[in-house]
Amino acid sequence: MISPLYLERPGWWRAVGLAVCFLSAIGFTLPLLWRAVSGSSGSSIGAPFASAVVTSMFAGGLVGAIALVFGLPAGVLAALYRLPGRSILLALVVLPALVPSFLWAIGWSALAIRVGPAAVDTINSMTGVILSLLSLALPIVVLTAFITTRGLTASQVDAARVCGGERAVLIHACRHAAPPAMLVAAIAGVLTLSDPGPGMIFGRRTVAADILTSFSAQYDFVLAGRQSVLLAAVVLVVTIPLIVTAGPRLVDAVMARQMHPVVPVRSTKMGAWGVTLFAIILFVTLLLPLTGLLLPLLGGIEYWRAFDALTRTGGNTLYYSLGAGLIAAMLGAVCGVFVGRSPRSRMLVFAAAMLVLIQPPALIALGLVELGSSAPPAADVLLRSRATVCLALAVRLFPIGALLGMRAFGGMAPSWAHAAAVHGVPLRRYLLRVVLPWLAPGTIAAALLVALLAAGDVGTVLLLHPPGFQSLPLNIFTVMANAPESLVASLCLIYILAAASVLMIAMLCLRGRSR
Amino acid sequence: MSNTTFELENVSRTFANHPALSDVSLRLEAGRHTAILGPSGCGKTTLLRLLAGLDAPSAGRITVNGKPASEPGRILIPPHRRRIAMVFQDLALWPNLRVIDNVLLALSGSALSRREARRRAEDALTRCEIANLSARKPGELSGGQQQRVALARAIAARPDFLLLDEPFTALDMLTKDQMLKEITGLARDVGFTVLIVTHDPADACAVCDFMIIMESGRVTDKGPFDALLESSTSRLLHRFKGALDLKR
Repeated sequence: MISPLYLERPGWWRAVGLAVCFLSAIGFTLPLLWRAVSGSSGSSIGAPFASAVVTSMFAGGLVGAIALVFGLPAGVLAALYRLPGRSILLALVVLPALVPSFLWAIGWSALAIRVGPAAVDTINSMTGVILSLLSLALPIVVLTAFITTRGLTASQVDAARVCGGERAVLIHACRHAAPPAMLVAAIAGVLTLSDPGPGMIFGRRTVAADILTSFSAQYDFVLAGRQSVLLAAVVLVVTIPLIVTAGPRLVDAVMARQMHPVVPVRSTKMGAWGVTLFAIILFVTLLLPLTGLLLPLLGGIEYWRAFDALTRTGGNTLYYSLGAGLIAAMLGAVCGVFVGRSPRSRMLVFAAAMLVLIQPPALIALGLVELGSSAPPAADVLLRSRATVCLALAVRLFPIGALLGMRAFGGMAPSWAHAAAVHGVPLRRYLLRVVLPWLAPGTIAAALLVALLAAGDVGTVLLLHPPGFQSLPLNIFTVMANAPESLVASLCLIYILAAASVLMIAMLCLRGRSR
Repeated sequence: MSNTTFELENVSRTFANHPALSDVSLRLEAGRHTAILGPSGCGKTTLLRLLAGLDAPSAGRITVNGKPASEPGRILIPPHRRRIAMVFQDLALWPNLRVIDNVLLALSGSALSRREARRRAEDALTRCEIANLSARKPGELSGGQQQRVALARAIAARPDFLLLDEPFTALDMLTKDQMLKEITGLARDVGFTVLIVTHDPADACAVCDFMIIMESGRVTDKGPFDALLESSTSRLLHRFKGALDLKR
């Protein structure tokens, strides 16, 4: 009989399992890296691309900085004080990050057109790009600050309160939450480098838009590969020092521990500050672009055409997103078990997960294209089909599953396995009756979150989808220039409502697992 | 009562070059309720985990009924073959399972038929006076009730030794006293021997007649409870005695 104690003991199988998980994630990019580095054909990277890198980095830096300035205090206040409708506010703040940023760009653009020429001039510049990208960056910084502050124990906060009142509490909490929030703001800034949507809509030359153009308009695979590799290198140079310095604190904050967390208290003044901050954030990231997006609906909703587009693309969207969610969540849960309770493994996996997450999506997608072009026909099922899109999205987003998997496994007391071992419960039965039910809510939530993020992806689907199998966001992306505004608005509304529903289910799953 | 005997010969356990247990030699016999008493961090829990087979010693060996059970770095007899049950400090109840399922899962490793396992589980719950809570989950119970569930799960397996790892730290004094009385009664009725790890001499004297005093990873004194309290010159034991007198 295999003892449940194996789950709590170190062993070589953990390192091997983790290596397999991560090698399968980065393995797809290796042929591309080889061809990009060694190939002599194709155009070389020119000055315009370098200029696009600089522009994108400037935009990303600014987005990260703004996200930090507003997101850190908002997250800290939400964790420490009872804000009216806190759960709803947090859900609303998260929502913009789950919707493709190009939709927000369309919203800003449409709103500016309604307001007047001055607004159009302002928005059709880097301002529009930055405002649209904030919808991605602000939510994750707010959430990080919130989770990190919740990592403080109730007694730590009470001690600060006794020493210097609410001011001392705020200073202490902000100091605690700042390093992880800064790291995540930087990562959010880096993530914006991979987002082609806003740049293309506002006519700004960004690095992600350049890569997409190289591949899908110029059909220069090698150039796109080289650009992706260069972007990946830039991303690594920027983020590795940040992960090394602030990573351990973030890991501590994200991982579950057995303690008495902070209990939010009532405070009129702090509550007012918190609500004001949330209002500003929601106004910029959700309300204004959403208004612009939905204004065309005043002229009537295009039910039938929207329904037609939905029937053509809805199934594919679900297939891509749920497929990616399922693969990423399962892989993440397995990863959580492999990590076990070793702080060193946690840190390593966290760093590796961050590095995979911030890679340009095009790198994995083009890697799969490269593999598919040289693979035998038998591999078509995996490398040239709808499953390829699922695979690429899952590989890119599996770090989210890994983080939630590590957190879920860390939430199990080691004594559960000890008790099972003392009583002679076989490992298989212990896994089925205790471990899997415990990991299930976190895994489902991870699957839903990955599914939401995957559903909003445009770049990967654009590069890999088989002809005639578009997703809904890709359909919006391709028709937005020519289709009537009301049709685009109707499709956007459908997408946002679906994202909000799935988000609610994910939040309920996570909430149901407090012990 | 069975004749199960644990014997530790020069057992040591080191964690990252820090000795948690040094050169401990002991003999634990069935029928002699024993308390391992000592301040926090003296190695009590480490000793209990080694006895249970949850951990292997760094040096020395442990035998059960004369058979080698643990050697340096190796566990030869796994925990469930040592005829023990254990109540953990945090109780280690499986939170997603109902009370009855907690007990049933603990019996699933035994060779009992389903019907017999069910009968045993219900009997254990009745003995611990929580039969009416069998459909609830641990999170829906009070601290004392959870304690009883952990106890029921442990005694359902009919062990020879019941290992208690400071299980009463989270309980109020009245509930704790009641639990200790019930454990004494259950030990008599079911026929197991209690081995309790505690830093509270009152817990020790309520159940046990034999005491092992530990300090800095070493056994400094051992012997029958009353005799030890009278004769020992250990400063730690005298401090414990003072605390005990105060409680009485």
